[in-house]
Amino acid sequence: MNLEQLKVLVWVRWRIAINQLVHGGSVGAVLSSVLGVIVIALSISSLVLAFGLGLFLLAKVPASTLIVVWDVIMAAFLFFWIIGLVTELQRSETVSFEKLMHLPISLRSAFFLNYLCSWFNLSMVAFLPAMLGLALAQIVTHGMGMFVVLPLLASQLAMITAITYQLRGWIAALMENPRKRRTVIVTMGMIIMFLSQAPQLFNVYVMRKSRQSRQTSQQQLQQELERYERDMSDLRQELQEGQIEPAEFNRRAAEIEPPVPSPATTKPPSLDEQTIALLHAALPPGWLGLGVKTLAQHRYWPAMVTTFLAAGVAAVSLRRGYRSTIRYYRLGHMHTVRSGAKHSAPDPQVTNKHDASSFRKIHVPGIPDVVLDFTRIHLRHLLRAPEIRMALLVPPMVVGLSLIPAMFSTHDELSKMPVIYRPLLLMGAGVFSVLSILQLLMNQFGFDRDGFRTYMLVPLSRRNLLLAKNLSCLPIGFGISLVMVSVAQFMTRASVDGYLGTIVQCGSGFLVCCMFGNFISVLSPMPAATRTMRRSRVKLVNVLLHVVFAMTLPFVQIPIAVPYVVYWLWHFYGGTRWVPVYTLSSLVLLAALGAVYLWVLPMQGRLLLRRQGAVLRVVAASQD
Amino acid sequence: METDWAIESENLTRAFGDVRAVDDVNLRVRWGSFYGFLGPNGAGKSTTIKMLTGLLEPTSGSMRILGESVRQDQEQLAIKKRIGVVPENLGLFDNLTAREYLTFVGRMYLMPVDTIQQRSEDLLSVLGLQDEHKKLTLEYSHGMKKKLSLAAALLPNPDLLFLDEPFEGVDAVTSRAIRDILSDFVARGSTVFLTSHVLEIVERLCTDVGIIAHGKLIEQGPLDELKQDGSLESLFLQRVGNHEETRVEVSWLKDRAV
Repeated sequence: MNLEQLKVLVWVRWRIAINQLVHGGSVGAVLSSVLGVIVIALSISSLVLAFGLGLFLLAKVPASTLIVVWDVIMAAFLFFWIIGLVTELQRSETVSFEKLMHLPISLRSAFFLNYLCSWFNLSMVAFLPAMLGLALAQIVTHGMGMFVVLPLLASQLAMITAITYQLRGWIAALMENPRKRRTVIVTMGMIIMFLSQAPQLFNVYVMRKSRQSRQTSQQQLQQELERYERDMSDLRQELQEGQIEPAEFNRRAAEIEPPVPSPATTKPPSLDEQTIALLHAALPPGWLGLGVKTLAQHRYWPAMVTTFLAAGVAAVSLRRGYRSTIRYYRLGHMHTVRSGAKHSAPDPQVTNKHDASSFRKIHVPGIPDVVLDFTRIHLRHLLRAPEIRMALLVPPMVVGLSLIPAMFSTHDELSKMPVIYRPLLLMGAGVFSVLSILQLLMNQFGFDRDGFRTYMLVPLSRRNLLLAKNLSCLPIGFGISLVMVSVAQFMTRASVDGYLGTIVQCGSGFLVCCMFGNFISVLSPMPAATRTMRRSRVKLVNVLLHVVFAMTLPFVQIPIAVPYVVYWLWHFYGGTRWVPVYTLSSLVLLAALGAVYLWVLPMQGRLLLRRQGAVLRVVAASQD
Repeated sequence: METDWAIESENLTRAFGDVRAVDDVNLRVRWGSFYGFLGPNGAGKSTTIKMLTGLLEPTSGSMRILGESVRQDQEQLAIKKRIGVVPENLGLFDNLTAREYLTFVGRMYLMPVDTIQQRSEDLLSVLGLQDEHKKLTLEYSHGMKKKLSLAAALLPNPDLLFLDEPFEGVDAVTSRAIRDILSDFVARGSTVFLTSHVLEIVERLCTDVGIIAHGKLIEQGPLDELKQDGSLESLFLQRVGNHEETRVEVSWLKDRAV
């Protein structure tokens, strides 16, 4: 590439950044400036802190500690780097190839420049100075031999950034298809969530194993102790009865070994050095830690070999990334029709038959068919949007990944819990599940985006529109609740009354959330950026309103606790356990809340009718 | 090496899996001609223009642009320096102003800054964008974006201009401005290759046309010779397919009852 062109590409990136800042509004400019200052401060302070840490705290530590320090830093960097990668994928590339290909510019150089620019992000700004500071401190403390850590660090970062850049290119190509794009984002989010929870799962597993091992050892120790006491007692008895002489007693007492606690009860299991080294050599992110450790032991070859290896991997990744990028743009691979795919027009009769059969299936007394049809259509829309799937999957995943392992680890304690308190745990799982669709219920029109125009035009009363929207969320919210409450029931072994009552309670919670969500959706709609649940161009007033509503929600949910109080009082005062008090009182509450819902809904419909123009202006504006 | 043709292709083919989007196309575009490339939706117009401008690699066949053979294993910077392109997606950066974008494009062509500034002023003035200098292109209307992309394509004063649907979604005033500029451009001996759906504009502007359908070039030549006594529309419908033959009645649209 001509140097002039390179300078212009750098200039255009800078201009884009400045324009985004200046044209983002005064609040945005101030916030961005503050963020910029924070980032610079973070960068400088992490450099100084890491240098100080390396100089004073890590100067005398053994090499085996250094490897842990660098592993932790590298793991944290990788975690934030991957989160940054996913965030970046949701945006389009600042200077994409598509906008350059018709210009007389070398694409190889443009690719390399884009790669270099991928280094400038928050993770790198925060971690690179820290790693650099630590490396410099170790050069000071361990001598010039440690200087190799600098190229090792550079090659390691080059390797990670090159691999992720190649991965990014591949994922970006996959995301060319809008449907795939959303699925990719959802999948990436789930992978990150699982990765972030991996230490927790590992910890639970290790703790459980350790506890089991401890319990086994204690039981063995107890048995040994009992055996020792029994043998000694027999021996003493023989002495007292004069069957043996004191000398014989002393000899035989010395032969009986007193029980000694096994190592498992005193010391946790640990990996030996060779295994640690092998693991680090096998996992490329561990090369940096391994290199530093060997450098601290004045062994230079491992560090130099890993430096060259990392640089080689970086070079290969970049080359592959460039080739796949060019192939993507110039060969149009993502537009390829799958070989052998049949292109035939759908049979209209079959299609009509299918559509006709999927509609008019269910008739619910009291709910007009048109509302049910609308509900089905909206439910399909919700279930087909991967960003909504992701938003709905997150809470159950969080519960699944954190609560269930916690329940497993405290299974013994749970089994000791009085039956009367167990429905509380079920209620917690149920309430959490209902809350999982709160994001959807509190911004029901935001995710319709331009589709809200259609809702405005349909000849459906606004009351029925809200009813249909609420009903479309019911299978999702109730389905999640049912699963979560059933899992909690399996873990806690609550009574059948507690289980059934909690399921009814989920319905009550859902009704409260609907009433609450309808109000806030109409009063304070939030625009959602296309293909994400992220809110865009949000006004401060709307944010404050949502915060106030969110803080009010727990108080609004207080009536949900009434059936449990009735259940508790019933059992506390010795009521028979054969009467399903919890279920009955929950049903009464559900009926009462249903009546309130039906009373409130027309009011909310009239409110929507008055404000629908304002809602449309907020949600239907271009979000891209 | 100069030839008779500004654009020349031999059996140009582009396949996506089993589908041949462009099938053995042999284009001949005269120097200094205003070539209109017509076809129904999905006929292969944009795929062809992408291959000619180096945005997409052909599956087979060869091309010569401005007398230079296009080799796919090279980046063809020499050819790119002599052509201007208004791509399908317009290729604009959302967060740049019009002047900034033109400066960027000009510098990519290694033009002197003074020349870029002078030409930018002229082009923005002619295209009616001179008062929008503070706006970012993301705030532009579709028509304004089209005009800016055209200005960028004209900035290096190319020998050959490729325009993908330049009149799609633009108002009558903008359309007139674009037509005037293009007419002047051709009048001085440069070549324009454009794709369009608007037959009236093509008929009024173009000297030569090519008609593509289902990936195959089914007609090509000087417009006057092709249409003879009829109109371009009748020629197009005759060659591409007559709606009357495939028309399906939507009987319920004729009744007032709901």
